[in-house]
Amino acid sequence: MTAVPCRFFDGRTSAPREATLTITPDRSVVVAIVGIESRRVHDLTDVRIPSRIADTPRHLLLPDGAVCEVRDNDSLDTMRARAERDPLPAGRRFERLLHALDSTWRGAAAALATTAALLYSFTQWGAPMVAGVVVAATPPEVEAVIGANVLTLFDQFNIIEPSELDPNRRNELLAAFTEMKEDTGVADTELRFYSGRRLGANAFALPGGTVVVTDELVELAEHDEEIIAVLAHELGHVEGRHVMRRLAQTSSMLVVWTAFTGDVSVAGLSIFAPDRLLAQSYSRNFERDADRFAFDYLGQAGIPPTRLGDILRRLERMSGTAGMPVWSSSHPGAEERSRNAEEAEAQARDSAEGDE
Amino acid sequence: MTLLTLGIYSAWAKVRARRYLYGHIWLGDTAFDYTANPVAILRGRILVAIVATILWFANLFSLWYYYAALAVMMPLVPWVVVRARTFQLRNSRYRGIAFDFQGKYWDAAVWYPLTWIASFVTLGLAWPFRIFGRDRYLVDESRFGNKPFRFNGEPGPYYGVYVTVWVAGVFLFFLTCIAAVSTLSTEPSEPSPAAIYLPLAFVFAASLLSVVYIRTRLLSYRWSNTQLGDSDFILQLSFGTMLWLYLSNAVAIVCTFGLFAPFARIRVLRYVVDQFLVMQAVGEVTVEAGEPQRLGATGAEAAGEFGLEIGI
Repeated sequence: MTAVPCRFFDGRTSAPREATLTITPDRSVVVAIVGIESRRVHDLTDVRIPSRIADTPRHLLLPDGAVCEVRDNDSLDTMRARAERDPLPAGRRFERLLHALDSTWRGAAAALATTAALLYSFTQWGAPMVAGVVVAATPPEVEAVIGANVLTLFDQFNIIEPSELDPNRRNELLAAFTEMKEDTGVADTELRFYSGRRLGANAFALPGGTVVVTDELVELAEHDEEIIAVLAHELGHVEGRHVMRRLAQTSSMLVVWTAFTGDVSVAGLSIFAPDRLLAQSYSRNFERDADRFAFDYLGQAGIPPTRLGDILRRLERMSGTAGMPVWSSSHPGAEERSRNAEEAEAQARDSAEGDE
Repeated sequence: MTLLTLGIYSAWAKVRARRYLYGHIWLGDTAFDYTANPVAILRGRILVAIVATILWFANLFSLWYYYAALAVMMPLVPWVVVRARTFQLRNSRYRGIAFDFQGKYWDAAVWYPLTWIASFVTLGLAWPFRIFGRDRYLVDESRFGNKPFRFNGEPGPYYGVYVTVWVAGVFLFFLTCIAAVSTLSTEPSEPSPAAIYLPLAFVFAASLLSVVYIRTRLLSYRWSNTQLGDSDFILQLSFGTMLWLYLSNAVAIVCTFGLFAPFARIRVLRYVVDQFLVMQAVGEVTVEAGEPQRLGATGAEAAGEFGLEIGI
């Protein structure tokens, strides 16, 4: 049995002593200090041998608090495997796997590929599923509180102000909205008007079902049916509880991505870039769902679905986002949505002709 | 592995990563050793996750709940500081001898939540003194075996570093304002892109410069004024080199979506550790008198600053 050279520290002083270490086939560890007739024998199970990390020296902890520093990792592992050969403990096999994984480029590449695949599947399928469960378990009261908080915050930061629309005009639109509620069967929702200030022409649905429309949007519309189309789209968000879903999806993804980045403290936010892009893709899917909901309703109500496309184009021109790449945006391009609207209109026309 | 085990492996990953770093930091003829038990780290992480979840929910409902939750947790801060540092030092070993930390809760309370409030009330004027006091506390209560560390620093240099940063910040701010105003006056009707990007550039430049400057100067000062028994340390980091490291790291990390992060960490650590000098003996290693020994480093503090490491 060849002995491995090591350095022996008694654990009380920091003075090193040259020594040799042997693991015998009967599973005992023998440490012999060079130059003096001193041998220490311990049972292998009492010696804590840390797992191997790259080729860093390993410090074996002996039961009396002494430490043996071994640099020849290969010989140590061979000697130990020979003693433990039958049967090799499961823990040791796992340690070997870890060492193989994190000491080779191939292992690192495999881990990276697995990570990418896992992250992708979670974002694609896992997060929406988690969100579905979470949203189903959230009581409507909680959702309403969250929605009310958002409005309060907007108000505090002067993002919105009380509406300056003519009350008659407001009542007209409220009546149309009430009609829409009855026709679609979405009951837990209300419509509110605000002056948009920094938001400009905009409409959005809040958790809890409140739909907010800004004065600027009402003024931008060239036809009442355009406003109704926008309202129908927002009602689609309310019906699908999209805001809560998005909240749940993004937070569950945040947890997973934090687990992924783990100890990386210097990485900064760039690491979340792919996460943001995927979150935007969720959001676009919700927008498409809401559009579909709106087209259905508009078709039933005898309003051409292209009205939605018209106002969206005008909005996009105004905000100057036309031509921005789709993947960077939370909404699909107005171009695509108008095309969908035209298709929906063509379908509505076809089915109307079929009925005649 | 962390993803496959729903985050549980992260504690083992942390220990392996740290053992890798310690095992490559050599002082004289011996490398450092990190002996933390991953289970303890896992427990700490679960606790942190619970606290973060509570804060997240509180924030969702109302800001007041959030502040209330923060206030309730305030008395825990000194306790966490002491535990974290004790854990980190006790699990750092060199030549079979462990480091240790013997700080008390009430001393930590002075340098952690109490002087935060003092700094707030004095509009930041007390902040450099707080950093000084914190460093003195953390160093003076640390030990290597039976030898205590001693901190010989003064508050003056701390004020020097911070006042430099403040003056430079104000100067940079005025420069940005002048640049922004000059672009505005040419096109009064529309907000020019410069008006939007200049403030962003200012914030980025100011935060990078100040963080790197403070870190470089204070890390050097702290270590150059630390003694262990009869041993003195010398650490002279160059601001230019550190700035280059941080800037190039940031660019590389952004360009690789974070994959460069481990390399970035090693680059900074390697530079800091290489600049480290120990005069005289550490733990009974006798060196030739007066001849400085170029070396690895000493413990995690060398590079990781006195960051919080949670391990209950």
